[in-house]
Amino acid sequence: MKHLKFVLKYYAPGIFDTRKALRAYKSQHPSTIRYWSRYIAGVAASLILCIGIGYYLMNRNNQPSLLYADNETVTYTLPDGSIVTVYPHSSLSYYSDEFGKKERLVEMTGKVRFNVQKNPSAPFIANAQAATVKVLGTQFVVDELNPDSVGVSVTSGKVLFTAKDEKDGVILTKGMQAYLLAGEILPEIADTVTSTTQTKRKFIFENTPLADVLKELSEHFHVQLSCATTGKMLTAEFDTDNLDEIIMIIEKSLDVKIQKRPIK
Amino acid sequence: MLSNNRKINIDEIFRLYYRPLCLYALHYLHSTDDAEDVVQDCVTEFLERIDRGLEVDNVRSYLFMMVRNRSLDSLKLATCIDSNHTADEFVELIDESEYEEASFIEARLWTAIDSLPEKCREIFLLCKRDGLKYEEIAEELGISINTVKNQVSKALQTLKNGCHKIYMFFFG
Repeated sequence: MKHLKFVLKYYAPGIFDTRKALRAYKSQHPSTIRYWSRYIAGVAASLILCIGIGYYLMNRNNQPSLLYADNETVTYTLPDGSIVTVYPHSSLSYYSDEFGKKERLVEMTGKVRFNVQKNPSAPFIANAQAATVKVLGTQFVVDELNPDSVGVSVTSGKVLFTAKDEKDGVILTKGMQAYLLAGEILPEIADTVTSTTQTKRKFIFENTPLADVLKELSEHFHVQLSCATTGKMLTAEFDTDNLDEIIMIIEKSLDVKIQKRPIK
Repeated sequence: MLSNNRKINIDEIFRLYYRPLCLYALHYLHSTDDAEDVVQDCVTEFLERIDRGLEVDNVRSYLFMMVRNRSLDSLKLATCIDSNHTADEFVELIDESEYEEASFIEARLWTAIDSLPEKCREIFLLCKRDGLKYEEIAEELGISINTVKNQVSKALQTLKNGCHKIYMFFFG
């Protein structure tokens, strides 16, 4: 009976529970499945991996979605809700399976207006042939119809405008417009409201050198204005979109002759 | 018995040896918590070694040796840290050769007590473990003295049968 005495000294219900211990062991050692099942698990795992890789590769080789406008302006909505307006003879393409995952990358040619949905975690990147525009959410137009320059104008928000494969660029905000001339590395900001937005602009000059005045007007109206006499200063206010009228007023008030040539 | 089996059945190991090993460790450690910890460590490590390709001729001897060594290690550690555990706890270890066999009998008893009907077990434990008199138990539980006597003798009978079975199983 000394065995019983020993047992009774320590006995309490629920301890030295074999089943509980076995369960605890098995939950901590799920890998101790027997050999054949472990083998099968290995085969299954590699199969799943193969299928996964295959699926990934197949998706990668997917054709991009292509949006193209032939003779008329077409408006599309992208998967993220951004609205694009593709102007005639322009196109836009993107890989739908990767679009919006890390970034929203679209390739474009010609002239496209973007109204980008805000999404800070996936920047919207528009790749033109010569330039890249990166945005977080805004409305802007990329115009590459002119072979010598790319124009970007922003209606709202903020964009980063760079030449293709360049890091540095210019940041454009509401109302700003910039041009990247062919072969240039950095786009140049045009500091007047653009013809794209078609708003009337008031020109105010206070004791401004004539050369600066002409430069500003040239950029705004996309013409090249020059004058043989450059030293003169101008103080004037023009509330019109009629360039010829402005030129006439300047010529009369300063007694100079201004040449106007279309921009090449 | 199952000694030369190459394939180790985890369920079988636990079923055959877990409780005996616990009681075996209890002889050294005198604490059910400590004993269970040691046994769980040992069994886990043993199965991991088997997994890594260890060949064991006699699983039972191997496990008991592991538990014994681990128990003595933890006792030594406790003696170093805590002076309350003095050498006299080692005195009991003298006839430790019996512990292995004893632990199987004790495990069987433990199981038999576990399997008693709850009321019967309660009365039995009050009587034999806590040393209460029949009258005291009857008063505390609000039952007659005869019922207490019946339940205790029924429990003892169950335990004897259980014990007998295990004797026959191992030595018969």
